[in-house]
Amino acid sequence: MNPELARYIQRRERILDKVRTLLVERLHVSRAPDEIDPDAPLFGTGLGLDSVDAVELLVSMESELGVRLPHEGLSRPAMRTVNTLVDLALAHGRTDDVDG
Amino acid sequence: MSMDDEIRALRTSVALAKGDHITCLRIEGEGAYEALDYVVACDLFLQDGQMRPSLLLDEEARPFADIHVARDDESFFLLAEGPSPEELVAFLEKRFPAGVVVTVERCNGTLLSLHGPYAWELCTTVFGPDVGSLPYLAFYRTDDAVFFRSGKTGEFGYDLLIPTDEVATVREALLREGAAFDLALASLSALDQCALENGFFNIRREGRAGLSPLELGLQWRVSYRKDYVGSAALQARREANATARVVWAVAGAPVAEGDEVFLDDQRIGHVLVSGFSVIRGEWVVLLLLDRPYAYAGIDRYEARHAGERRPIRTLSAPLLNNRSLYVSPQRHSYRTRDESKLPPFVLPL
Repeated sequence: MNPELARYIQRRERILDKVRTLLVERLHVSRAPDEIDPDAPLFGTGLGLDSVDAVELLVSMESELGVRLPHEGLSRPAMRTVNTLVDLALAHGRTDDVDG
Repeated sequence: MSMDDEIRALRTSVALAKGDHITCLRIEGEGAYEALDYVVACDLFLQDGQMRPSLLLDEEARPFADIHVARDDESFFLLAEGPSPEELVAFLEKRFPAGVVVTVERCNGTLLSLHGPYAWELCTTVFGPDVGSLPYLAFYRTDDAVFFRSGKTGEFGYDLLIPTDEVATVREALLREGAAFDLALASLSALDQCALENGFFNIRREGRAGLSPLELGLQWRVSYRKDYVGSAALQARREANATARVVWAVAGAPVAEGDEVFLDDQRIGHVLVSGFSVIRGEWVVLLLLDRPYAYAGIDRYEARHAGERRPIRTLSAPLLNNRSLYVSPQRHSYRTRDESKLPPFVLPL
């Protein structure tokens, strides 16, 4: 595999692990991390988060992954699935923390 | 009306569709919970009036039906896509635990469905605010009709179970009042394309590929805390680790089901489903990729179609920034909408 692609996948997987841990430990999603599929919906009956959790999720994303939303309009599309959170962290997260 | 126009209406206003691809069953009796709990793959922790998406799995942990299960006091509605009504009833009756007192009957009525960012407003106009304001995954029943708030398009969605002798009158009322909403009629093909664009599971497409919830990314719809039909096989597959996973992608040129996917010269998967998205202006594709390559955000893969390599780019679903995310029943109306204030369907990366 091309080294650049390998690095991207490794980084994405590392953020995915962090998001899964955050969902279990901070948001109390009652699933084992490996049960949380990347495309699982966050709200409704997906992982069962609600509007109160949304605030905690944003706070946790900032404290754990250094994610700062560049504008509020990004919050809805970014908080649809586990993978959209990973996309958000890749684009607007703290890269040193993620890579470390 | 072309399918593209049906989809444009569904994505921007309201679309009315038949519901004859859905079977509605009523499960009753003192053993209804116990019987369903043994065949439905999710935990049945539902309050009266709530519904939940899940699956019926076969003994090999492959999806047999894509379901919503809804609790109505001590009874249940089961809305299922995939098998015929006869196949569905036979599946249940064969697998319900022996000795459990339960009855299974077809629901009395005909299903229609409404989808779109302003479907709630048309529902309010025709059926009243109790229907239009239903929360997601809840249902409301009157003496003779049941209104389910669900949908698999990413927009506001309602499945309407109407007494069969009244369905023509209700349909006429929806068409009449729907004119003010630029209501369109949507085909099942249009609904399926919208489901693909929004990352919803489709039992008629990828659901028939012999995959389990592990490869399909549907573990959120199943439980690992109870025994049910298919649970042993699912657990075994989980312990063996899935070797492939579905990933969404887009392509600028046509690709088709079965096309092989490559990274350089290495085959890494194939196309499960493909359809042109008139909203995105490109092909939307569901891939089954070998696990080490099954990630969003990669633009180095290619699909081999008609003898040539075509670039594809993997993405996180949903692939659309749906209008329904931004339309609020408390603040908006189709009549006074201002499209310029809504964000684009496709956000920049």
